[in-house]
Amino acid sequence: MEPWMIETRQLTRSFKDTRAVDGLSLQVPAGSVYGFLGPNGAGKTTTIRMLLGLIHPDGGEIRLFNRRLRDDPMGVLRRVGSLVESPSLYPHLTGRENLEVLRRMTGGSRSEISRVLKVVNLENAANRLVRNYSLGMRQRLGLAAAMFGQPELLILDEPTNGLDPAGIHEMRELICRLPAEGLTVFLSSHLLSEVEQMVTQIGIVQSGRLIFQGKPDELKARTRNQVIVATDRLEESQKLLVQQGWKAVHGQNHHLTVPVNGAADAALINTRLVQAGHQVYQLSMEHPSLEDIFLKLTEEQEKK
Amino acid sequence: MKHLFRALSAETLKLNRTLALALVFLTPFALAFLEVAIGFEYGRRMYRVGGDAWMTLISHTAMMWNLLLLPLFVTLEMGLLGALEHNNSTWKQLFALPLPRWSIYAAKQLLAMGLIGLSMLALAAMTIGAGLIGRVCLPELGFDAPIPFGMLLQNMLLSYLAAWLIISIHLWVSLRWSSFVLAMSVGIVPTVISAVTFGSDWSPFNPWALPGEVSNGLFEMQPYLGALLLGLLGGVVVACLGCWESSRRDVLH
Repeated sequence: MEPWMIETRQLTRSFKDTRAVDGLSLQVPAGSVYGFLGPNGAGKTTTIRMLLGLIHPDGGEIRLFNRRLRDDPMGVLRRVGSLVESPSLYPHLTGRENLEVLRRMTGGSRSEISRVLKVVNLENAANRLVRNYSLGMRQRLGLAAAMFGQPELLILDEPTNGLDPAGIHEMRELICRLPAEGLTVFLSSHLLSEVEQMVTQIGIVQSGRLIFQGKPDELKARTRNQVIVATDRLEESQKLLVQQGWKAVHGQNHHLTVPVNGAADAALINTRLVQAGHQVYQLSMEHPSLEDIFLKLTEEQEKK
Repeated sequence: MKHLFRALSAETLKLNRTLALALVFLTPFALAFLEVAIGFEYGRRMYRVGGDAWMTLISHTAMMWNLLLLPLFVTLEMGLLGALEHNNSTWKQLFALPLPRWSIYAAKQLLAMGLIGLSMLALAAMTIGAGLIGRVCLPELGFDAPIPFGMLLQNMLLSYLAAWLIISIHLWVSLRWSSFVLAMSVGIVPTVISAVTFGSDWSPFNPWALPGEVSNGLFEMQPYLGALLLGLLGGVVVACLGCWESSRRDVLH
């Protein structure tokens, strides 16, 4: 049996008439950085709150570390660290005192406070009041709180939300280091581009349903390369290519987009256009980015 | 029980630099200061020649405190304790910790009761201080008599126990709902009503009037056991309901 860190089976939760999570079955492998992606309102935060026992599901099952959450919530949550949306901090306390609150509640050692402060590079600001922290510092302290007690699984909900590019970069570097320390990271985002460089697994959710789950390469493999062509007579070029069986689409930036199987197809398209007397200004081959695929997938699902 | 002690220890740390902690001493100080001012301004009319000045001071302070200040103080104090979590969206972290939710709620309940108890102890000390100022500055009022420590502490203890019900009610309201306005309204409106209707037939059943009923009964030698038990046991029951409810509710914010 695969050692799933998180496994949900047909997880469901409704709010009044809205089904926020609809039969969600997640499988998060140990040691992975799992990107839980979806547009705003897709059900990510509701799912995360259910994983942490903050919201009770209407149906389905949640297993963490191969144990049912409802059978032993304390035993399971002891091995989980979390950062849900904005960090939960007391601004009238110092950074160190905020972690001391956690230490007193969970019974960890004082050295653990210093350890997590060091991991997030906040040692020098530890004795400053949190109300004087920047947003990025608060986010890092929130991550330190999540890592307190050396959990095996980190659940992070939109950890880069509201951060400036430097803050996002900093947070990304921090998260990328975590699997090397033996942690499994489950993080949500509505922007694939923000987490693309970190994740080893992806789950895409739309309207409470899982529409993709797998490795980033598997997601990429779902789409074909495409050739971008610009000519002197775009409309006629499109007609010509369509007549010859290509699915040429007129793009927004005065070019044609043609799905192809490889470089040979690109060369063939060029030859056909030139032979027909078209002047080819530009011809390049590209693979849609994960973000493009993500957007296409969620848009398709939205239309259904 | 270790969960409860852990949570309680964390709760006390959270009080650092808070208005909630400052008010524990500022509120009784304000009343004691008022009593001193009244002594200087109206002392000769209020403290009769040959009367028991200490008992007059203690009963006057007790009435002002139990009927008006205590319910309002409990309202504000519990509202501030709730705001500490609501304003910083900390429920989602607290309830995701490996601690039973009831222990977190119970720790807050014990802290709330401790803060109110501490403020009443401070009030007792400051009442003695006010009397001692009278002894030195206004010797004609009769504060040179021995201090009735027993009566003072008995009054404080009994009215404190009778206040458990409003402490539990206000704590639950302020922890359950994030609206500070709601928390204040639930306290201010009944306090005004109980002050106006104090002494009526149903006053001994009004949670906000119970400390005053008990204190008044003690000074006037009238039965107060029913009001005391209602305040004390009612407080325990509402606290238990709060623990139960907090364990079941969804944390959406």
